[in-house]
Amino acid sequence: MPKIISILKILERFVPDELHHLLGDLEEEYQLNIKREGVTRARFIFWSQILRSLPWFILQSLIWNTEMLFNYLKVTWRNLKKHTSFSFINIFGLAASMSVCLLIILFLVDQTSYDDFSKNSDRIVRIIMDFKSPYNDDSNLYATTPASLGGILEENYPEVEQAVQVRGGFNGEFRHGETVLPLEGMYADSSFLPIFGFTLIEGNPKTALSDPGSILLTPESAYKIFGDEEALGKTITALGDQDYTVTGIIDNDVRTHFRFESIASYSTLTADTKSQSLLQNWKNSTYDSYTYLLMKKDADLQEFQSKIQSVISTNYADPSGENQLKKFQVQPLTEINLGPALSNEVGMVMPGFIAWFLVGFAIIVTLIAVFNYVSLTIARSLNRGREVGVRKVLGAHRGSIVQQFLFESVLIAFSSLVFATIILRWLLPEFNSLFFISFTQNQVEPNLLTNPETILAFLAFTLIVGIVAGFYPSLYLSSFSPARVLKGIFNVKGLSGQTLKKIITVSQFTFSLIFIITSFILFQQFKFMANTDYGFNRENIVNIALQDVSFNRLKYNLEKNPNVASVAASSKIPAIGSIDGVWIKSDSIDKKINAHSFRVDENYIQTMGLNLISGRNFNPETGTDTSKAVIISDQAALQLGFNTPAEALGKQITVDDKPLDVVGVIENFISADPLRSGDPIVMLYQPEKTDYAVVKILPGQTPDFLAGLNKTWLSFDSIYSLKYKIMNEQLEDNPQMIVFIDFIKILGLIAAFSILISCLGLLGMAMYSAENRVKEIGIRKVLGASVQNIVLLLSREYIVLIGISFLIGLPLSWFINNLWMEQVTNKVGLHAGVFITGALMILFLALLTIGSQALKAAKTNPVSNLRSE
Amino acid sequence: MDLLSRMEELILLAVWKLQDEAYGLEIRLHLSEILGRELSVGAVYVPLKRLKKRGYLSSWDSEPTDERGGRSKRFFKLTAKGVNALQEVHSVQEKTWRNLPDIGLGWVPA
Repeated sequence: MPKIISILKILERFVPDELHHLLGDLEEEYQLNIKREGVTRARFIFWSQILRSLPWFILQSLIWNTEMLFNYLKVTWRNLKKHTSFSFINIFGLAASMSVCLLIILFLVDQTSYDDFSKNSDRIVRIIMDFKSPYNDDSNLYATTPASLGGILEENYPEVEQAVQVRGGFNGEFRHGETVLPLEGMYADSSFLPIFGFTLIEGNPKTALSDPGSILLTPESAYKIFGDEEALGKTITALGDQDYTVTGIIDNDVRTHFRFESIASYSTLTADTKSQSLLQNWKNSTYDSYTYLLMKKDADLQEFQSKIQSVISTNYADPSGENQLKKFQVQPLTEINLGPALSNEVGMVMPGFIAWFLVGFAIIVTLIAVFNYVSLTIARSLNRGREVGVRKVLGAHRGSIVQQFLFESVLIAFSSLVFATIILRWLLPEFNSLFFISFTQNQVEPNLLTNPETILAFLAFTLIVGIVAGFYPSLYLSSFSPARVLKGIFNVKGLSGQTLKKIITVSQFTFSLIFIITSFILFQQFKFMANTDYGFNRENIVNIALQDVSFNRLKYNLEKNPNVASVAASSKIPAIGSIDGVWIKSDSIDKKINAHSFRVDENYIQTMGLNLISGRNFNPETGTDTSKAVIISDQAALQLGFNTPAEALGKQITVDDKPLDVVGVIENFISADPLRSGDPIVMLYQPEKTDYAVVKILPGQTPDFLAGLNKTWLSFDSIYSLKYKIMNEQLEDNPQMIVFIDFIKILGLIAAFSILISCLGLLGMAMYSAENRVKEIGIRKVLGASVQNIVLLLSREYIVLIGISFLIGLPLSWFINNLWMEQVTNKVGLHAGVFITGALMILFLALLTIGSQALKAAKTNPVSNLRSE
Repeated sequence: MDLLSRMEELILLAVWKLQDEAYGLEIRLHLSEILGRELSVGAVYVPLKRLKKRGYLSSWDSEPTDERGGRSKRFFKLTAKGVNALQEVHSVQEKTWRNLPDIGLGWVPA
């Protein structure tokens, strides 16, 4: 019976050779029994034998394997000790790269734990939509949906157990007695707490969000308002005199994609006629309302998604026929974090692509270190080959040799893990201080290190690294034929070790070159942006948020201040990342173009030091500028089809379909953010619709001015507290600039690690080749070779390899950097200097590494090398 | 004195009895027949291995044969030490059985 024979064959692989005769006995008995008692009985006897003996078989093979493991351990240890420098290079290189990976693993463990604290988390979904807003050319995915959607879905689709209404935009300043505190948060209906599983530290979760005017506070915001006082049941007053009763303290010490300092009851909105009518208009409510659904247990989400598309045509259709709302998508709760980046996200969500980006880097760095392991192990195959030969002669088969080398590499990976966690301890605070981490409150807590999930992930990762690193060397080394190896012949079929070593070195240095050049270019771009000419005056400017104070009152008051040079009004602060988009068009062009708009008063151009090229400034005396005039930038003029700024003067253009006359043309300035220049700009004369007072201070007087500012503000009796920013600081704290620093930091670290690891690998190889050619060097010296000759001889091969990696890496890094540079309009450009610097730096480090070894070998006295034989 | 266990004694006797045919399967079949019950592989091979380790048995492997799926037989043979051990057991047994009151076997040792 082939079945039983093959079982024996399989068993053969698991039990030691020593016991193979036993399997022979079993087979013989089986054949015997077939003849004597028939197949059925023979099978029965066979199986009963196997089953009765299985525990004993397993025990035997375990004993055998542990015995061999001890042997492997001993050999590994001896090898580590014998070649300390190689071991150091392997372990340290792996540890350095693994620490980066461990960090990313920690980050991922943390990020994937979002929103899974609720027992319902696998049944909650969010509906998101593909929507084309009037401000964009293309449709975008929005996290929001019309406010009425939840009710419609709950009513008409049996899969939906319950809908949860959430609405953003609950923020403002709240007063309790003397304390005024700005709070941010959202509105949520009464099913929010039970469905998402948030717990209340104080208060009744069933009723906390039922009544209009209920508010939940986080422990931090409660403490800020009430101190140690009891908060529950107290009243806080929002501006506009809406009273809120604190109905609970919500435990926010959970990983959730919601970000809030407070949650107000959704019924507050529905009880108010004004907001109620806003909610009923689906287009108005759609930018800030979120629809979460608790689905029935066996709901088919795919099917549900295709079913609910019909809601668009029945409820949210446009009369024009071309619907703005294109499509609904069902997004499971646990896939919100690390999901796609959506517009109008409810909280701070880490977009998935950032995680993939980090994972990609981590994998590359690990590969560089794994490459080291592979090439160093293969380089040493001369020594290990003999061991393999002897083992084979003594009866080891290929499988057990592979096992041995895999065991060895896994062991080295685990020793690296120890050092990697030490490096990780140092990396972690650095990582947490990155802006995109700290700003979004995504810090990785160090106590996550002891989380069983993390430990398991670390161990699994280490095992994988060990196996990947040992895979090729073990196959390579185990392929040696003992007879040839013991004679000293080392050529194996297939990809020879030498070629592989070369490929590895080239790819390591190619990666290193790309990393270092890219981080140089990023740094240059950063410096360029930091020093860029914004096109407006950034010195001695203070921006004050008007809030409820009238601009004219503030201006009247500030102009009396001897430190103030001028005061202007504006709707936007330029170059800090936020824009007002408008569509503009002239008769000379066919399609509307997008422009950034600023609503300003007549002093803005002069206060900001903008350059009026042609035409005139706004003039209040005309009386018609408010409704008829527009000032455009030269870039806008160009894009609107006017050849010169002067040509635009007096022409009519439309701004969001409103016809306006161009009265002046200003020089373009940076309006959105330092990455972008040359965006068309329009300025409208609407002093009444501004949000900031732009104050130009006399040089050096800023501290004096600020000292008196709060007193001035208090005299207006505003319900808000004073909010101001110094323009220069505001530009420097621009999130986009700081994220740029994050990128430079990450890439710089990766570049440093990959260069370090590549050079370590090079060091190992140089050491090894110097060691192996020690006799040759001795003879060459005796025959009259100079130290230079020998250094050149030993380094030549590596210099060629590094040269090749430059040939690949330089164009590649140009290509990669050009890719992102094309998206940037305000750019430093790619200069040969950066590429040369990067290449020279790597060349220098590599030469230093090889040279030190070559020089050492070249300088030894030939007598001491040659005497030993 | 290092006395053999009963199983070891049976195995050594089986090896002696089977002479040139003393390999695992034959030993096991022979003992199963004597004892009247199927012996498991472990029950025979573990003592065999132990006896070999203690030097009572020596072993050699035959050429592989087809009916065994290309595996060899492992033959066992008593060593001098093994023979001594058997003799020792035998004399102890003789002494213990000697001069016993009648236990109803209808057999009184000399």
